Amino acid sequence: MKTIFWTALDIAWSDGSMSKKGALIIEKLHDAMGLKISLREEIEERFAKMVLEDRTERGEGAGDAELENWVNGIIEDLNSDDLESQIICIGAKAVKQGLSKEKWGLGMNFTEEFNQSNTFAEGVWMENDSNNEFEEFLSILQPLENELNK
Amino acid sequence: MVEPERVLHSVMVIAFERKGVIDQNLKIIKAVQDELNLTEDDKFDALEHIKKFRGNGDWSGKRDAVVSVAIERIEDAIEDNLIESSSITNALTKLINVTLNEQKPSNNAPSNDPLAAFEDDEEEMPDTSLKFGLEDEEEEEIVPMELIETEDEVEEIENDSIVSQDAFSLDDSENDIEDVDDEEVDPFDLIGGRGNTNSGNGESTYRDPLDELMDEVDDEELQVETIELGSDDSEESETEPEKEPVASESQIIEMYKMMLDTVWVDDIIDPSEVALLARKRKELDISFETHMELVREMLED
Repeated sequence: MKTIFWTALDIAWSDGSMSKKGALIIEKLHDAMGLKISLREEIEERFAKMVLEDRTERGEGAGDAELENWVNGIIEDLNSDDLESQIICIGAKAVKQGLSKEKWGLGMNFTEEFNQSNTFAEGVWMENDSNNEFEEFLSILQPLENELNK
Repeated sequence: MVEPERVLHSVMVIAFERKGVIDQNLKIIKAVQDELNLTEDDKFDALEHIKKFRGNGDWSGKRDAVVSVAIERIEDAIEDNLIESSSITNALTKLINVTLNEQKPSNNAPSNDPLAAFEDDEEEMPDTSLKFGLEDEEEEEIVPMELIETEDEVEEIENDSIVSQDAFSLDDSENDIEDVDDEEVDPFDLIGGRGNTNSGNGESTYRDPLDELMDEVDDEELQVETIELGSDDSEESETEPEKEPVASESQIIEMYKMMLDTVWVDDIIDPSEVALLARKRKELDISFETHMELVREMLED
């Protein structure tokens, strides 16, 4: 499962290059997520090794347009009042389906990027009694929901 | 709601630990399997899992935790009416009580068992005649005969006229199980009161939980005695400080860690296990932060 910041890098580098605008958008996303520097460093190192190292094509960083739209949606989701309750809901649902250690790790890593891993953990370990049910999830959480509960 | 497969697994765990070896032919297993409408494949899966993790019986040093979790699951299943047969429920309750009694070092000795705190669960079934109806020495020697008997041994029991008819009805056939459930048939009319459940096995003082379900009347009488005895004890305890020392913080953390290891030993956690851990955190006053640290430690191991 691609995490949010990984996906942003993926889009920014989609044609083999990242524009200056793309880099600025990445910074904007970084700030909005509250992503820890050490974690970002780790993600970028892995991205460089796994994606960029073998890439030969070079573009003009045309991914920035798509990136801007996508990041704006993500930032909107980060500010949503439903974010925490939806994360709790996803965690609780995952347990109902039987949560493996691997999926627990995926959920924690995914939500850690935007400082919500504790919220996810609360949902999993029944530390939060809110029983909100959601039919649809914010786009920022869709990859997590797809990975854990579908 | 505990999944039926896990309930059967838990019953198998408790039964095997009572017997000391893996024996898939134990009659309580068959009874629970039938009660839960589980297939042979389900039983086989549980058996394989137990064989994989049980080792020589110490469950990688987590035997007590495994047993505690199994007991919790069975109790949850009973509470959720997953098991409707009163005879099987009674048998399991008594089996649990026997197992819990065995886990307790002794009534008066200081407890060094880190699992003792788990046993103090207020939701646990009250101890009845198994605790007070027998001498302590007898309790130590209790081995669930009905559980350890294989089909080959059934005949031997059947030949014993004193052994209650219902006692072996649980394992002989499904129809018999239904007979036990039939409240119109008073088992005491059939057997004429409490029999010697150990007949045919003169060396054992074991009282079989399934046999004991036949002794409900006697048990009730013993419960009255138990209350009286208990009230005496409570008077004494009022004048004395707590007999059992409180587990230290590190012991509590250690036992919680064991439970955490145990519930995730199959790589999957389910709501009943999560609920169990949440309950224990509350009971043991373990913070969520500590829990998260333990989870991380466990995953790093």
